Amino acid sequence: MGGVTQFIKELRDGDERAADRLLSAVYDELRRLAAGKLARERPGQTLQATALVHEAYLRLLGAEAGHWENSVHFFAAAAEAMRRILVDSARRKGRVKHGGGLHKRELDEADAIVMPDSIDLIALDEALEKLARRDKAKADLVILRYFAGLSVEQAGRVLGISRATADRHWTFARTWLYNEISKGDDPA
Amino acid sequence: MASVWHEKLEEVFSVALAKRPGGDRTTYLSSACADDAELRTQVEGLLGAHDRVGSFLDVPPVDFDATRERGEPPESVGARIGRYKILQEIGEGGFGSVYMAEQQEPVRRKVALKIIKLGMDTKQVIARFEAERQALALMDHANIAAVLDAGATDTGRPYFVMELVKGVAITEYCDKSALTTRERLELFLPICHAVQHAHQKGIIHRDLKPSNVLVTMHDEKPVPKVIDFGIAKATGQRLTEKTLFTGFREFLGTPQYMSPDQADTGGPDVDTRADVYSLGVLVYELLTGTTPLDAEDLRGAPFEEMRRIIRETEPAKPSARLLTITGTHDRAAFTRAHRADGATIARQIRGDLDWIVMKAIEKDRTRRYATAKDLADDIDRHLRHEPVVAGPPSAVYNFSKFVRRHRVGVFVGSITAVALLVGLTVATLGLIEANRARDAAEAARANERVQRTRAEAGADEARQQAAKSATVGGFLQEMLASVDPSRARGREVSVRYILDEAVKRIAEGTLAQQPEVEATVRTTLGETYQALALYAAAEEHLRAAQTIRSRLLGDEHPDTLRSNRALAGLLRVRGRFAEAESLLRRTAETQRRILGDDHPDTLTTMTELALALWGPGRYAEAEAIHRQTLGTQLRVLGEEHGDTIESMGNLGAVCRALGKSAEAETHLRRALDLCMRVLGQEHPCTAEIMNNLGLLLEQQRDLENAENLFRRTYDLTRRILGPDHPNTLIPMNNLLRVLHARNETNAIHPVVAERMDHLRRIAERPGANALAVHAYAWELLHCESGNLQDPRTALPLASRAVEMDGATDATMLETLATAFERTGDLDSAIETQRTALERARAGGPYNRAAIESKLVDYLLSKRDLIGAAGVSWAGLGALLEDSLLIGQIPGASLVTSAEALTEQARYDEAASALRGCLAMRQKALPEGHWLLADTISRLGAAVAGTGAYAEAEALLLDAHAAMEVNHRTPAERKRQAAERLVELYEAWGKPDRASEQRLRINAAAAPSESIPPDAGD
Repeated sequence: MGGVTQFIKELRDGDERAADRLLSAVYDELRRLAAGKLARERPGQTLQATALVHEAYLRLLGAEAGHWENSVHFFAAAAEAMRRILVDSARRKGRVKHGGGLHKRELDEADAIVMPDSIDLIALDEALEKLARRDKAKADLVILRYFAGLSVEQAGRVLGISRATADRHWTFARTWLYNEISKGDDPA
Repeated sequence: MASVWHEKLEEVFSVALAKRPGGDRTTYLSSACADDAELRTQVEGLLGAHDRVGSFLDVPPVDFDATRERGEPPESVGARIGRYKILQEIGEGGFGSVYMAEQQEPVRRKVALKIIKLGMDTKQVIARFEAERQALALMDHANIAAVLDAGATDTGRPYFVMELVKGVAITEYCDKSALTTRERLELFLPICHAVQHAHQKGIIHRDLKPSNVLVTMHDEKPVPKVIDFGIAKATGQRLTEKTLFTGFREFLGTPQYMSPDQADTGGPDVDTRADVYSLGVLVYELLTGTTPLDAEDLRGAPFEEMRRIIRETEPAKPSARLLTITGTHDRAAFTRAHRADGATIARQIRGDLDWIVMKAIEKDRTRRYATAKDLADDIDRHLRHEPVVAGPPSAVYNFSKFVRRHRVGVFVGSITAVALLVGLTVATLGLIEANRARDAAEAARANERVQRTRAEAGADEARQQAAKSATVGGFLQEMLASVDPSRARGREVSVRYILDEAVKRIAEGTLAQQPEVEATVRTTLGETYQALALYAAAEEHLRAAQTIRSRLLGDEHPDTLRSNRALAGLLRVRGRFAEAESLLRRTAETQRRILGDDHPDTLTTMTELALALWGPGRYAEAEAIHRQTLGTQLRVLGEEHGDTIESMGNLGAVCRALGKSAEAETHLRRALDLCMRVLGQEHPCTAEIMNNLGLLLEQQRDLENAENLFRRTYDLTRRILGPDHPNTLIPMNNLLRVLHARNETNAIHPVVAERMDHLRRIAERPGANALAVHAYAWELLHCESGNLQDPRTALPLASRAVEMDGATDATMLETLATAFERTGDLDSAIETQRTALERARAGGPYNRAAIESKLVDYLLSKRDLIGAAGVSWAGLGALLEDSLLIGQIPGASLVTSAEALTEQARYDEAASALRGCLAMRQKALPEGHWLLADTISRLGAAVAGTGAYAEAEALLLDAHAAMEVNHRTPAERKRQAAERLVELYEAWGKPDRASEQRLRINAAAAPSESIPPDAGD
């Protein structure tokens, strides 16, 4: 423990490599928490993403939680980690589906996570990549909002933009992504 | 960095979006994309997409769902498990899977086999099942599916074998068959009877919910069957306090059907009334299509928050809930399923059925129907158009909640410990206050009382005792005499003063050579302190007496045992019920052995034990003991003995709490007769029984006679105890509650003012006890007549009360914290509230959730989020809401909850949430900030909902004006604020002003062209 706050400190001191270490620590923690849920949870009970991310937040940052600058780095890392976990899992599940049949497969942590049927995470991820190439800030906003469960205002704070700007970015990015994904479905 | 072109795309899109579709937008696009056809195509594509985007990405995706099958392979057809052969899978749920199976011996039949998921301790599950197997076998009811067997599969998973029921969940059946309200109730009745049957065999279901009540067809008639009896208990783990982080969902049962009692303990204390609650939820759902508590709220909530919701959230009445069904789809579905629309059903339900359902799902189980049969009987009465037992709960209930905050409380069940002491204290008090000094004759009389009580206490050692009593009496007399009349003149001499002098003397070693006398004196001191509600001091002396006696006389001496009883009585009064219980059980056992079952000491201990069980609500156990004790006393002491009469009164009181009204009335009336005849009207016992009878009549909705009784009790206690004695507040509070229930507004205010005055007088008496000072401080902070509130006066009083009490009582600390907060000293409020929480955690009958949530509020007002999160899950919830918005938008969670409340038409609560939010924001935001105006506007809408239109108008106009002035106000908020005004005037019946206002909105909307300015810092 203490690692995460250390990484954040290094990051704030300008050590870019700390970002990777932070991401990897948060990623591991989220997977570990999800695995814990998988093993411990009793039937009929669900848990929301926000709770998971914030559980990791309090666990990893301990007394440092609540310090504004730490939160910024943490949530940025957590959103990215959560995105990777979910998209990877969606890819694996997709492969299983394409393989057909009822092959038994190993359990993984993301099995504890239920995706809304209406959203194709893989397509979303591709569209996000595309958006990021054009406008990274907006893609980051979406990742914070969608994968870390932050509100638009909160995500805006992480990115250091005002609430109104965040709202405007959000409206645009969400519409853009929607348009991008539905182009795939709909040749018109 | 965003590409320049992309930024341009966003800008044009954003501006175009703010324009009205059609002319404005087209004009704008033509000019903005004049030379860039690609840009225009893209913007138009996005504008089109925007219309369809819906809630895309608005809901975070991650939901952990532990109900998913996790790769455990299904049992294959033909496989054998024990004596059973699997035929096919018929169901699957969070618990595991259900199969149709064939039993081959001893009889060949089809059964249902339920295999529980891995992850449970199979051995324990089966052991728990075995423990209940015999009881389960005794159940024989057409509406109960028998549980036949249990065992473990080869892979170590527990399974249960049940009678095979081919049916669907009752809710599904009712909706698919489009049953009317009456048909639904008729189908519900046999379920109550089935549950009652199980209860009579000692089986509690613990997990009643629609999927455990299946409807199967028998001769073309629907027959409901309750399944899974005994399974929840066998598979359930006890609900325990987990740490903050691992505390997720170690939960037995389904939260929206779970009673607060079960959610809180989950363990051995759950009784049949937990099932009554679940039945209430089930019938609520059958009538309205929704459960009283929102399943989504509960699912999303962290563990502690979930328990808090279950414990505290007051659901809407069924008829009110029906009116909040929104969405055309939901409405149509409801109408199809019920053969009538929500408004029609709401009219059918309003009144009787509302009351019946709300009584079944009372948070406090003592206010529920005592049995499933009582619930069924009331529904049956409704169906036969007879008057029902349940009554409108709101007024009485709400006000009784208010009264409960006064720790003075109801003096039900306090009789035994207090009677003697009140006698002693009253004599002493009367003595001192009547004469302002002591008078030899009166002192002698007080002394006599002491001697008499002592003499009664130990008949067999009468002579020795008498000598000792003389010494004791002499000691106290000396103490009284030590108050110099010349010094006493001009100021009152308090009992407290005398006691403290006595303590000083003991400390000086005056009684060192006579430990037995010291023990007796300390007992008297302890009991007197207790009567004065100075509990910490009382405990010190009672414990010292107990220690001396145990050392001197041994643990089995009658005096030591009596000391045990006295100490346990104090522990009970201090709310340490478990400690009291174990000491009393030990003591009673020894007394039985040494003195016999019929000895008065044994009986007194048993009575005390019953009262200790009463404290935490174990009424049935308390009842059994009172009943047995009364039986013995009637035989040994006869009907006209004081102890017998007290027991009879206690039994009546506990019967009342258990809802056995008829029996309660018999005992109480008989006890009152005897009391008047034997002890005389002017006796505390008479007052207490009269008070309990009043409570019973109140419960039976005979409010007029209840009011009369409370008035008589009030007069009586004033006479016996004097107008300033704290105990006169009890009937006064009861009287107030009934006056509220009867809506006698004019009669209320004088009583409230009188109470304030009374509390002030008591508190201002020299030597007033902590309780009295606290009661006055509390009243100054919370009194329902706002003009009587006075936090500045309350603060030093609350502080004094805490000091006098030795800072042991959480409620007093909480009051002090409130006083700090109300006078603007938030730091001290937080520190004090933290101490209160610590004390509450250590024990006592405290509502910890309420203390916690207030602490969280204080911390949030200080923006100490991490502190808030550390306090509880409620704090964490607030952290999620606010952590990143700090400095920007405090109170967002309150706004959210106010919105939810407004949707449920709970305007009063919404308004108070918004007032809280406003208070927070006023502290955090600069004057004139648009968010303040926004909050005031929302508050205005909530106030309008309550019908206070004039007040609402003032708020809404203010808010609107403030927004107009502040150019940073987002246009959307401005529009909402204006629309609230329109809605107000419409509701108020002022269409002219409504349309005037609407015109203004339209006029304002037209010229707006710019993007809303940034509202951030």
